[in-house]
Amino acid sequence: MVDDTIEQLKGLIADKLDMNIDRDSIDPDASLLGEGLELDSLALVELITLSEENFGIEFGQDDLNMEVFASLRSLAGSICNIQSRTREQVVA
Amino acid sequence: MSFNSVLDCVASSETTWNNIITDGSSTYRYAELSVLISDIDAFLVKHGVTTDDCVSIECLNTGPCALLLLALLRSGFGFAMAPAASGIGELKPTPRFCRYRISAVGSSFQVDVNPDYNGRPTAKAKLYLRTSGSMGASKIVVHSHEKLLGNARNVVKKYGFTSASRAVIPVPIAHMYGFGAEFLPAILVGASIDLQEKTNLLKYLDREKRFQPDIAFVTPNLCEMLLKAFKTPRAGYRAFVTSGQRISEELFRAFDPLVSGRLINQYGSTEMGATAACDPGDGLDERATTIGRPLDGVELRIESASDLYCQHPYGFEGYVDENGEWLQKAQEDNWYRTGDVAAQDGGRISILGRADASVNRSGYLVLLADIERMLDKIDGIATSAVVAANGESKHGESITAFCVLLPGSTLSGAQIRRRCFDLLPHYAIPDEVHVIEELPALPSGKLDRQALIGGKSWLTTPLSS
Repeated sequence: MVDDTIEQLKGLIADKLDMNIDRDSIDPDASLLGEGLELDSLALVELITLSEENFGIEFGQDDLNMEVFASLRSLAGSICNIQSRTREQVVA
Repeated sequence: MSFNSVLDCVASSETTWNNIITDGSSTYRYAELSVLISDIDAFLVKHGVTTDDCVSIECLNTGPCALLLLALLRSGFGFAMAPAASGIGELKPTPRFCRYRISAVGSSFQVDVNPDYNGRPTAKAKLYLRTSGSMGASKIVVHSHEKLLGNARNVVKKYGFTSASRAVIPVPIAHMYGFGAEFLPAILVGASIDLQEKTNLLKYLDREKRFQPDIAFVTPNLCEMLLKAFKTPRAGYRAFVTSGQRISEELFRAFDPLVSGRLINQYGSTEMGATAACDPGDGLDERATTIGRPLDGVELRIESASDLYCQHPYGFEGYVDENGEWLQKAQEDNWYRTGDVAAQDGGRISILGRADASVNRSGYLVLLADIERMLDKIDGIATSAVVAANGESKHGESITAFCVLLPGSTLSGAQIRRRCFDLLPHYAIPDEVHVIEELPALPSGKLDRQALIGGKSWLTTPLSS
């Protein structure tokens, strides 16, 4: 599940972000903001928006933090958590 | 009141001595400032740096850099300030009239002798700032410390800074906006300060939670990012000030409710400092569309239908070049041409854009001619024209480039745009690049920019982008 999400995120970054990043060069454990993918602030906002649209979720205020956006893997994990959280709310 | 007495006052007053200056890792209380600044004085003396010399400092939004600034101001140094080297910033040399270059290394500093120092004597108690023209030859703006304090007092009054204020500074303190319009005013009243270096929205949110600011000076870009990140409206800000580039009315109206109607569009420049702004209590329509009223003593007038001029009691002294030679001195009673195009409706002034061929992108003034020069260096391009297209992009005003290819070249607009990533800072990359057969010309033979701006219908060949 997390791995699928990572693959989808890679696609979003390579195809949708205006950053000239090649899909095959994306390391899921590399830092998103620091040395690694070096997404700038605007790209980060785009990634948040794209993730919300693509995965049908909405990040809560507490989800927008450095730990969640440390790497693609941590982001994918959080997206999966939010998806299951949302499903539980719907069921409840 | 001299800067020395200001610091003595905020360090010894019961209402301010426990207030802090922090960057998230280093935190100082105002009560400690005197000792900490004296340590820096001793460090400078040890390295042979005296107020007879002008120094250039690489200034980050960190606690140590803030202390260095305060030390230079307290001793009355002449100093030039530059943001940390990164991207295009690396191209900017140390002015030749600066004998030393000081950069922060962790919590300490490194002093280097400027190899290009020209030995020219310089005045004490001056601040030298490069104009924001980020890609062409920039001029160096000269301010006196005394007038910087006057400017700061004006800002204190305008926004109601008090000793209880908590000012977050996510914009560079190496620029007039962060330094003159927020850092100095906060220091004047002994307010707590949170300095954010290379902020992004996650860092801002994290620090906002810890520091609980009530005054923020930001850019429209940061507003755009926080628009997505403020999931609930903030009630704690008394002033959320934006400047550095024009904020679109649409963004203003969308973001204002998230800071409970406290968004303010400030007008200013490197030369003049804070010049005009609305008050926090003004109505949304006025705040979203005008620059409000001039600060105390400042006068604005529009000439030749749209050229905005400013007379400022705390304005700059003039421009110098890299050697410290005067390029132009400002006269006391002179009206300064801002370079902005403005319109007046009743007593209210709105800024429409820049008078010259430049745009403001992510807070940087980008000369369109500089982009053309870079495009023309790409193999296969014969000539190019860059225009500020109508509309907004994520970096600010939209830029569109039109390129004519050399015979045999098969470059597409998309390929040219990709090459731009290696040649230009990110904020200067055209939003669209089109390949065309020839550039439209006026009867005089000059480039017809209006035809390029006006639309693509005049083109006889299909666009390749």
